[in-house]
Amino acid sequence: MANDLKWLTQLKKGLLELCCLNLLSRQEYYGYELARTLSEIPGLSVSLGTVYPLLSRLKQEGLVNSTLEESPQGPARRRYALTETGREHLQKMNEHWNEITAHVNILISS
Amino acid sequence: MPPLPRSAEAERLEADYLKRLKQVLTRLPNELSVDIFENVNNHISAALAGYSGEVSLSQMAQVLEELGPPESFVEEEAPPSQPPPIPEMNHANNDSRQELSESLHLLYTASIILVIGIWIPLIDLYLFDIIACFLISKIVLSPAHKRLDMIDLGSSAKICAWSLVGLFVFSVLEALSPLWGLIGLPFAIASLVYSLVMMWQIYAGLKRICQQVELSSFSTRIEKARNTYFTFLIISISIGILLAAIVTLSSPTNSEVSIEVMSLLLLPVNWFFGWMFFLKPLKDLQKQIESPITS
Repeated sequence: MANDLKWLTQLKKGLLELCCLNLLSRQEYYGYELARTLSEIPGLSVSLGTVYPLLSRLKQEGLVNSTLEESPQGPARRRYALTETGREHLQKMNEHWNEITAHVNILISS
Repeated sequence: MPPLPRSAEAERLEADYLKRLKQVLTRLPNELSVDIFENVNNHISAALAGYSGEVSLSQMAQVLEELGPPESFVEEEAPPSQPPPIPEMNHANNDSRQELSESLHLLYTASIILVIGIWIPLIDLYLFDIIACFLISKIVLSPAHKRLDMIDLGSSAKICAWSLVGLFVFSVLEALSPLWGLIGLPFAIASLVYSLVMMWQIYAGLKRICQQVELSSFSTRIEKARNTYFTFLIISISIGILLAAIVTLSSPTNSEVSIEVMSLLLLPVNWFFGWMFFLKPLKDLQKQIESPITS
């Protein structure tokens, strides 16, 4: 059981980064909005406590950047966008993912 | 736009959470931890923006529960070999421990009077409560209060101040009005309620101190003592009200005297419980904090 959980945790951790970058490739997100969207992906079931550190790390690695925007309706909000490096990195990640899932699916169904 | 106002409890819960978060984030590189902290702060504000009016304790608890425990923010990113952070009070020198111990001693003195005084309004002696209010207010003014961020006692100070105003107004009314008997009971109830609130706040303050000095087992003891004492108080008050009602109905002419005699008889029991579950844990905590000073 413990091994099952460990396997799932590792898988989700990798997938979270992939999902996060894919979401950002389509549009810019506010941190709050992005964290919520990610935490609501069925099956991924990640906590906000995992999303925010990931965003900070991706920013540090130069894959995403953020700008602080004043909001008339509430507190200042951080808006996240994918950088050019992030886009190239995501393309490789997606290629890997497609390749892996294609082979794994064949293996599982055979 | 200014942040939404929080109730005292919500503010305390948020401050506690952010303090714990700050502490666990020390395991991460500074740049990363600053960014996460800011994100969490923004998240709380954004989540609360959907509410109107003062943010309640349950609303704040819901937002923080959704965020998850502060520890979850470092589980994925912190290097596994990194040791857990050492709370600042562990590094506290003897002076700050001495200061904390002195404050607890003063709080203990105030609480003795609070425990004695909690039942006194029933027999029309308000002086004890006035002294308790004064002494607890004094705690709030002590330098240790700001240093240790004891907001709990800050809230008590506000209650104390308003209670003093209330006591003064009612004393004047008592002297002037022949209708005192009509307003005396609500005032006695109000007086009892503020004493209970103060006690609850003090328990909360003690728990915070336990966390700061890393006495988690003592924190559990404080919580158990609080639950026991408050259960006793609720039962005791209920019995008191019931007996008073029976006496008043059976003998309306002598009811006031009978209630006061009953209150006097119940006083030692109440004081014993107050000592066991309120004063003793407080005193023991003071001793625990004092011990590194003398060693």
